[in-house]
Amino acid sequence: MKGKKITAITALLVAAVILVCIDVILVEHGKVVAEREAYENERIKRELLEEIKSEEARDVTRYYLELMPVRDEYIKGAVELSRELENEFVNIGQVKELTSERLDVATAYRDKLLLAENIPAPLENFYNRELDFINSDIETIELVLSYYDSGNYSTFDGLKIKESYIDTGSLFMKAEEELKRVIDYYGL
Amino acid sequence: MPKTKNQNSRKKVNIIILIIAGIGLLFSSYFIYLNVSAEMERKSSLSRWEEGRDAGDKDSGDAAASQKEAGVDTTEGNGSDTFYRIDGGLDYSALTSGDFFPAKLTIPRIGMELVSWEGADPQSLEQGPGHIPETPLPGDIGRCTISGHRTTYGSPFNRVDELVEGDLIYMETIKEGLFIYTVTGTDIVNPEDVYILEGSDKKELLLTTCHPKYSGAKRLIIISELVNLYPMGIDFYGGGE
Repeated sequence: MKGKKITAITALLVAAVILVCIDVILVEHGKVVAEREAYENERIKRELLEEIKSEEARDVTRYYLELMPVRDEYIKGAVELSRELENEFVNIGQVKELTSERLDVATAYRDKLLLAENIPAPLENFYNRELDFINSDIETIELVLSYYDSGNYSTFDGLKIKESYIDTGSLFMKAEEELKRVIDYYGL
Repeated sequence: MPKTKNQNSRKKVNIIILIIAGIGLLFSSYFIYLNVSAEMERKSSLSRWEEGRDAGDKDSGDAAASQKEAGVDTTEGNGSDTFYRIDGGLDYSALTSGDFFPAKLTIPRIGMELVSWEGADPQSLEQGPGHIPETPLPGDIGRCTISGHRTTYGSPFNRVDELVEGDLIYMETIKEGLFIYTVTGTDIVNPEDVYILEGSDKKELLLTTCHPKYSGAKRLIIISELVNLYPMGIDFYGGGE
């Protein structure tokens, strides 16, 4: 009778151990599966992101390559005209002509910017800043032209022109910073 | 054979003509001498002035470099003199004519490039055009006036009558930078009409000289007004290249 009791207790203990082991195995297996799934999900996510990023990068690169020659042309034209202003002139009419040419260069650049379609999302911020800048640039030159046309040179209130110069400078720097950020991010 | 009366009088006439021609030659030589020496003086004073300016530039360049090292921003006004010339303003109560003169006066229309001095008395005008001390300093409100000879002493203002509205006059000073004026009109007045030098609320520069040429009967006045020539480069905005 006593031997039977011991056998039953042993069997129960063995069963309990087996159950615990099964439980542990199941839990551990669950963990491994969860880890695998998480890893797999992460991998899929990463791949998806890479795909999205490379797609974006392609768009950004395409737009960047289209825009840069236009932007460079504008900057080069503006700088050259400004350098010419450092020369001595015979008559203020020549200065007015140069200023009008400078206005044409800025207006042409703005028109080209406005024609742009499908701007990639990463460049939208830059695009808006660049538009703000070029509008301010045009406004500044128009103010300068109105000064030359005023015939009232030494008593003209130039404060507005001065402020416009400062604002335009600040907008230019903001656009430059944003462009640089995008260039660095996409390794352009 | 005794000389006739006619021969004698002809001889006298010849002598008189010879004397007049001699005097004329002397006068012409004198004027040529004056103009040649004035031209030489103009060139030499111009080159001395430019040397002084370059030396000043070097000094101010060195000063700017040390200020930069010390973290002081020296960009405002640097290379943008004309931009700040009108709006920035100068404290004229602390300035004297010595801060502006001698100044280099350039008028591209007539290829004129010379040094103008402080003082417009006859002796001062022999060395070149001079600022009339009673008139405002360059860039100040009122009619800063420079007087110059038209036909003698190098004839510095000989061709100012060719200036037309809008023509530019550059006045470069060593200490206070560049002042650019644009011609707004001309006038011919009597020498005693000094009222022309007064009564303007604009920042003007007047050039005065004798009129017509070879006569001191009238004065030709070229009126010009201070003007800003605004830079327009992206580099001026602080970026670009």
